[in-house]
Amino acid sequence: MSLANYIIYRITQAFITFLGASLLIFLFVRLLPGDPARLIAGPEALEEDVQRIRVQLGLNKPLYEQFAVYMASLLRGDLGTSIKYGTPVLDEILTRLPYTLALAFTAEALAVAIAVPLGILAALKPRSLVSQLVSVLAVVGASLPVFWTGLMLIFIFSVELKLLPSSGSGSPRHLILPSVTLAFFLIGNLARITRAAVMESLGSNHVVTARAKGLSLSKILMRHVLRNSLVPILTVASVQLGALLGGAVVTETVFAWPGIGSLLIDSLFFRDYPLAQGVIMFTIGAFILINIVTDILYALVDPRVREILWKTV
Amino acid sequence: MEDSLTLRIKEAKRKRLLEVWEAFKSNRVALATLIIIIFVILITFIGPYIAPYDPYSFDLRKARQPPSREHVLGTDELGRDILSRLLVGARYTVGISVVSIAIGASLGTLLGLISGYKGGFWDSLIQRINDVLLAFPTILLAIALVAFRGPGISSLVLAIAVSFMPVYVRLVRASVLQVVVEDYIAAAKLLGLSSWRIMLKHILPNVMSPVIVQATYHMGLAILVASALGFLGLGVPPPTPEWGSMIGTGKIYLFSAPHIVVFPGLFISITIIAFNILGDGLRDALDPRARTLLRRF
Repeated sequence: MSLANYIIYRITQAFITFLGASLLIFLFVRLLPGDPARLIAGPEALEEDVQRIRVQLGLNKPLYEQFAVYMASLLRGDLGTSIKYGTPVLDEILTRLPYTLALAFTAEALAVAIAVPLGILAALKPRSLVSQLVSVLAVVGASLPVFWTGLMLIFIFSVELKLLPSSGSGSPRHLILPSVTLAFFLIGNLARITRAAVMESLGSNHVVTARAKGLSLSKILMRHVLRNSLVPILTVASVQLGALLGGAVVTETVFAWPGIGSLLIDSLFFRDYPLAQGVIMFTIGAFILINIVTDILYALVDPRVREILWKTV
Repeated sequence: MEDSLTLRIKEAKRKRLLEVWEAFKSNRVALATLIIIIFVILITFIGPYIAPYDPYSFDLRKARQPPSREHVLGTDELGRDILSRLLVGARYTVGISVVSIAIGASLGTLLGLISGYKGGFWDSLIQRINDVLLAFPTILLAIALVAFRGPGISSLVLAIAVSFMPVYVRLVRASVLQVVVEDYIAAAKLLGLSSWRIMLKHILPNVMSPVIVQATYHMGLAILVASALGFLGLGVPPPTPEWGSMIGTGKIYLFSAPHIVVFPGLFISITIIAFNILGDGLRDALDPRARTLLRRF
């Protein structure tokens, strides 16, 4: 299979997954016990108000007709109209998107900047303190709930030391605490993967040969080891980034960071049902997109991956 | 009377269990976390009986008191005893996680068995649906399900079970594909056993190790998701003392009374750390080869 064919194949596959996800979201809303119109109207609403909302959202039509309308507008890029703001859902999302992108990329960059050197040091000295630190971080970092570490950081740096703002988005300084919170969650896993990858390539034949030839350690690291360890590290980092773009819901809420995650929570709080549905669809789309971009990048970068990927297709 | 073959099989099974236990026991840290976990599970059962105060009775005159001899972990924003609320709340946070994983893992294992053993149409159908579910980030799928169903314990259980299920489908299917080529499966087929019998009696026991380890890792993640949803106000509604929602309602007092947030967070964190370390220990003891298939997140 040629590269062009592979890319077409992956995009088609991703598109089908996206259609499946839209169908699933559509069915969640309609088929799960519980009446969305009643949820929007609130428990004290009159029956006629509930009926009005039902008509407004098209929930009174037969299921297949609803699905046709829903898919048609989705493919046109129309995610519906927000009940609370009265504006197109897509506009609302695009206003919030830069904040989510800023947070996700800062957090991931911070995590990579700390975790990769830490992982390399740990791999060079497997029995050292650094290596033990990586093991501890791998468990603890991923175990502490982000809403709690976030609140603890606010307590230390905003309440006690009065160094950083606790919430909001006025300046770059507002970005520090939420990024650190997310990075802390990511570092352990990334460092552990780096350590494993570097240790594996340190033991591989060509590295042993390079050592035997008397090349200095730093040269070996730069030329042979790091290049070979790049794929697993990039894989984990990109999966993390993909999850951050949609999954920073909790952190954004803790720090009142006006990204897509807090938009989702707001929309749920105000029972702004089209907005919630739109944000979820958008996030899944972004998540799927990142996955195919990463896959295609691998195929371009690494001939070994290319072979494996094409064989399995 | 039992014949010697069944006796030998029983003996071999007992020996295998003993080996796993020996391997697990040599991991001191994992052994220590097992004690923490037994303690936590004990609390979910006897919590309400050992709680010093009524977790629901409030007294505004005693609101937001720091830890004292009377209230060991202090009182919350309504003057309720935090220790009592944590002890009673364990059955919500931990209980919900156990039930959801039991449901998600059983359903996922069943679908994975069918997918891997039957192949063909069923395999394609299950795998396509599974791919779609795997395309959702875990917490987002859980939020979507809870959001469209309204908050409550049953929504939370459904949400966690459904978002974890696809991991088991994939894991079990992969393990089944390794097992079906074995001679004893061919023998079972030749004997004319029904495919359900082969799946449940002959394949299932051989794919259980990775499922058990995955479920242990998922306990940590389930507590994380359940408490995060509680924190966001989408989980168990107040005044129920679910650990995450205790932090959610207490967070506005972070400036004046940080202990309201600190102690529930410690309970959540220690429990999750314990389950994750236990998972590592079990993985190493049960099946070191399965490493690459299992995931903690």
